[in-house]
Amino acid sequence: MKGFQFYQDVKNEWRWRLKNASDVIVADSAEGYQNKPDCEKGAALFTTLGPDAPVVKRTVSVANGDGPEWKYFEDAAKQWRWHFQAGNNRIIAASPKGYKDETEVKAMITEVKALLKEIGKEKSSNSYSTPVTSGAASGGRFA
Amino acid sequence: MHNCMMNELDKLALDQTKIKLSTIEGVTILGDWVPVNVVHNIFMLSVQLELLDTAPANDIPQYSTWSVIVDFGSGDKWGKVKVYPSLNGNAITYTYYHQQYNGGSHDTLPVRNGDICTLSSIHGLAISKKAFTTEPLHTIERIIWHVERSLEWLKAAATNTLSILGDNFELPDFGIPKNTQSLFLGYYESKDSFNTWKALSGQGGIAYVSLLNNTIVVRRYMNKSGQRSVYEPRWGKAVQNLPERKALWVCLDQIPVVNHWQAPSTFQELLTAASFQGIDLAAVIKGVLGNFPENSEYFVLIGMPVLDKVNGIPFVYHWQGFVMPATNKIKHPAIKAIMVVNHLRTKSPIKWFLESENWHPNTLQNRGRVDKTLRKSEIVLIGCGALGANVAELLVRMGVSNLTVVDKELFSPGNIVRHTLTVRQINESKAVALAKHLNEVNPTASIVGLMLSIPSNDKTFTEALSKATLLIDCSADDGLMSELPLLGLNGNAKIISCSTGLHANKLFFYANTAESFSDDEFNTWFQPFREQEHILAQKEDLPRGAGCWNPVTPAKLSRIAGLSAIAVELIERVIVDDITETVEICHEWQVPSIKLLPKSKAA
Repeated sequence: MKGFQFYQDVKNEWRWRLKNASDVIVADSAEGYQNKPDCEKGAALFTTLGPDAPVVKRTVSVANGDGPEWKYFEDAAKQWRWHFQAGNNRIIAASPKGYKDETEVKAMITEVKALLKEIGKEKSSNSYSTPVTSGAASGGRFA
Repeated sequence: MHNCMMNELDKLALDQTKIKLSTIEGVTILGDWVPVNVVHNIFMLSVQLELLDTAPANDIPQYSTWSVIVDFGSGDKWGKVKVYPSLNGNAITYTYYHQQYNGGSHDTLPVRNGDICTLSSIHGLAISKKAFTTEPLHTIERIIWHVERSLEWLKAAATNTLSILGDNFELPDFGIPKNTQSLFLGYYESKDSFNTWKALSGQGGIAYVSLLNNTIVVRRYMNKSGQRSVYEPRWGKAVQNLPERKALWVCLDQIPVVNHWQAPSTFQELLTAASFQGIDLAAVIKGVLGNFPENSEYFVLIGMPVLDKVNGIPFVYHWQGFVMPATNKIKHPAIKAIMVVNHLRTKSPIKWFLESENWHPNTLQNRGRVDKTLRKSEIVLIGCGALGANVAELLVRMGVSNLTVVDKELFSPGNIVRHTLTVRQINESKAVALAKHLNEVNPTASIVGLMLSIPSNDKTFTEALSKATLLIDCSADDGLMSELPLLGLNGNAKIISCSTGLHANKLFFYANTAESFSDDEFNTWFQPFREQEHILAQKEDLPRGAGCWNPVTPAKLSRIAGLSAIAVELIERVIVDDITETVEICHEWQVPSIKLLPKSKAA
């Protein structure tokens, strides 16, 4: 199913993975989190900041930027990967696997960006909140 | 960003929010996010908001300073967002619609206390084009949404369109920080009492109030001499049995406000607000004080008409209460009156009650109640066991107030597992204890409990029977059925008998009018069920009570309560539709079966 999935890994740390409409994993959280809320916050930041952030090719001579950024690079195994850094250079998302060439990794970034945009849009248009009542803590559910 | 022990992801979100906010037209960032409460993870960003496409008016300047507060510590991981006028700078100092009291500084935060209602989605603000109707979930979008709503709020405040025709009418915020008492007010007003108060605008008198936990309940209103009743709410027994004390009431013509829509925070402001309505509040209070010898502190109740909608018509009175300081040392009434009037003219803070609520059934029961025809019925319910107690509980909580409950037995420990009574009522009369309990679940209920065997010549019972429009039998007693209709019951009254099968697997519901009721007819209908239930019972080793062989009926409260609810729905239908034909229903207890879904592949 398209969207973020949150799960606990073997070390009981929380991680997320992002699936596209074909049920293929296109991004993951790059790291494990101690608790689920932080994991959700990481995914939320990626959703909000990802679509509009610039994409840069990482080289040894280029210093890390200050703002949110997509970076793609060739790893030691000659595979092309990407990661996404938030404002403080912290990596909050990464490619789930290596890709064969630069063109393919760039295409994947474009696909993930579009997917994030779609998810962000769905979140804002599909959210339904009931009129505020003392008994309603969540939309459509009452106790 | 200042350093503190905050979540790194929250810090990232706040930093990115600031960058995004700086690109919004009309928003100027005045600094960095600062922690205002490190322990509770509360952060503040100062911004200047510009009044866009609108000329400054209505005391809203072109540029005003605001503080965006994000609270990550109140149980919302994405941060609870509020926008307050800033403590310094060019902050707005008046109070407008859709804004909390803005008369001073906040108790705990370095801001003014008038946060604006950016969250509300059911007023004029929601229909403006930039105002979305739902608050986003995630931190960055959420903060931006609140700031954009604040820009819209400013425009609406300047153009006096914060509340528009047809919006829900909202009272000003009387919960003035620092001043409020930890007392609540419960009053009883409806459209019926509205005309009484309208005629008394600008007048005052003596009220009698009772203290119920921390709530002052207004029992009755007298004229200023205390001799003549002006208005007496129809409270039930639980309130009627409380001790009374005197208070003072004053009736105004409109909501008393200063500074646009600001609740008066001092006596002087209250007098000013009343004078806007042409009412000399000090003179009104002075006029009552002659007959009000209280020297200790006392309560003053201020009545004001509430509109049905913004710019609509007034339809009900609302009351706010405050505490008047004691005049202990003053004995002479005239001097005391002068002292009080002088005090009213000072800037002493008014200690408003924390909250005020209309306890009239129309308001108190507006979350859901039975139809008026059933609410107004005079009901006798026989049998205060598990089924009878649960049926009675539902009826009384849902608005029935005239009910006599009858049972000859005592409440025993074994009853607790499926009854509404508790260990404290063990060995008390089921009926009397149940009536006492029911009087406490509805403040307008007048429930009578009688420990009797039926038939009975007990005077209270025969009187209740003669007035009854509905007799509910929850005794499951064939002996009682053979006595029905009871002598004295009106022929038009409905008789409804409710009972359950073994394990509460069925509800047996039988209804008829008293004049058409026939024990034989009931038995003819019920006989097949009787045989089925008997065969079932014989196959079981029934649970036993103490002492000699004494089988008890196995039936879980979940089923009893569920079938009671069905019974009440059927009772309501019989009464509302005025069904005079025989009703015979056997309702089978049903719980949906659980269908297991295939396990998700996601894990």
